[in-house]
Amino acid sequence: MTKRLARVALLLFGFALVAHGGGIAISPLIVDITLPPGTTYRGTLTVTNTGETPVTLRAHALGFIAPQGIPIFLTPDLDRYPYSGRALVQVEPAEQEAGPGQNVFFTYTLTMPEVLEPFGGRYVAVVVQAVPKVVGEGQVVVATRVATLFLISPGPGAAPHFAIKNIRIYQSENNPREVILEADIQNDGNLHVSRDQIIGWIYITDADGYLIDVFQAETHTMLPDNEYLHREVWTAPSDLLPGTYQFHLDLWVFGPLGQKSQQYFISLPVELKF
Amino acid sequence: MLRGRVLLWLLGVLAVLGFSLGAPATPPGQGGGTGVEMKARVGGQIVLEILSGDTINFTVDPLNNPEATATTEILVRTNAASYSITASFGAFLIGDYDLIKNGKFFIRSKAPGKGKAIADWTVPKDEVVILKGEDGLTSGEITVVEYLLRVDFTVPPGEGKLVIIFTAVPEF
Repeated sequence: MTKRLARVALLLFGFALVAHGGGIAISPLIVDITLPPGTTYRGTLTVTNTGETPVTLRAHALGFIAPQGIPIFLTPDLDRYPYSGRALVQVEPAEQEAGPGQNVFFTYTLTMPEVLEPFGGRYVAVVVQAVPKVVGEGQVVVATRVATLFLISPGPGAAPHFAIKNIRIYQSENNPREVILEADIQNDGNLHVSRDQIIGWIYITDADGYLIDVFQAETHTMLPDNEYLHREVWTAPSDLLPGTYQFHLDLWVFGPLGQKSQQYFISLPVELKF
Repeated sequence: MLRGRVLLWLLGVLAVLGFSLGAPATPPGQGGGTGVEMKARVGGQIVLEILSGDTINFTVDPLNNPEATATTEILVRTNAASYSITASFGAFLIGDYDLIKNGKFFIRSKAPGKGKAIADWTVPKDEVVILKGEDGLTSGEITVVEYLLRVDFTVPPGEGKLVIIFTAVPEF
């Protein structure tokens, strides 16, 4: 019995989860820049310690992807993204102290190389992490970080392009009035498209081509060589009769002056059973 | 005497004005080559703060107290149209035993508004989106992240160490 108790005592765990209760802010959030090969640009990031205790702010560059419009940062050992711009940015200083409520400034230098392989946009984030001044032994630390995202275009010769594959339109098993539209969407071009450059509409017509409904598809910024599963749910009107209906996707990607806008139009007939 | 003081004051004002007007305005950035075109969306800002969950202790044992929970409250203020919060998880090691890889540590989250959170207990892997597509333009709203530690007799005794980094990002 004594042995058993001793064993149980050994199996007690102590976990500490410690966060510094401060806050951090950064500006600007996004820098969208055209930087021809062989040119350099310098700018400043403002980082604010919004907390009540001093922190150390550490800045470094990370590549990122954003298949769903949310940046996913790539640690250097995992960064195999061909359009990563991690090597293009220098941040100074790498570390500095910020007192409560204090603004500090980091200077960044973007350098677009003469030769880009592959040619196209480059994507990098300057990530600033707040590190508490005191971290106890054996603690688990919850840290906060913020980032400025750089979307860098090399100029003429780079453009987005979309591939829309594996379109599936089917009725929900739980509710047949819910029609699910799915497709794999890939930017197979060599430049990002910003969320303000893209718009998509979905039209539903009956067998005779009469418009039943129309709604806007959700779109977001797409980086080159990024792919995601797009999903929309359309609720058919309660009085819609069973039959074959046509689903039309109309996607527009707008470019700069002098560049032709891209349109993607796909129609599919689907039999709906209610 | 008074006239002399006024004259000095006027000279001072003129000197300051002359300096101010003569100094070039500081540009937000500086191009180092020709043909550099800047299109920066400036002015956007995100403030990320840990409101609570500063110090949380899990005390668990596989026999009498195999589970423990804790929370962290994250406050976001932003003028971005919408935002997301990601969390980066390192290894949660007791010696060589990783509590995350062995499915003993879970998280879930609660969205402050329309955003999509993690409804069910989920084992976090590397980078996790804990809040997606939350409406921005907010002067302060709170996302709650919950942690669950569940141990059994396969977990070796000791103290675990974990680093969680929360990042608030604009959806773009």
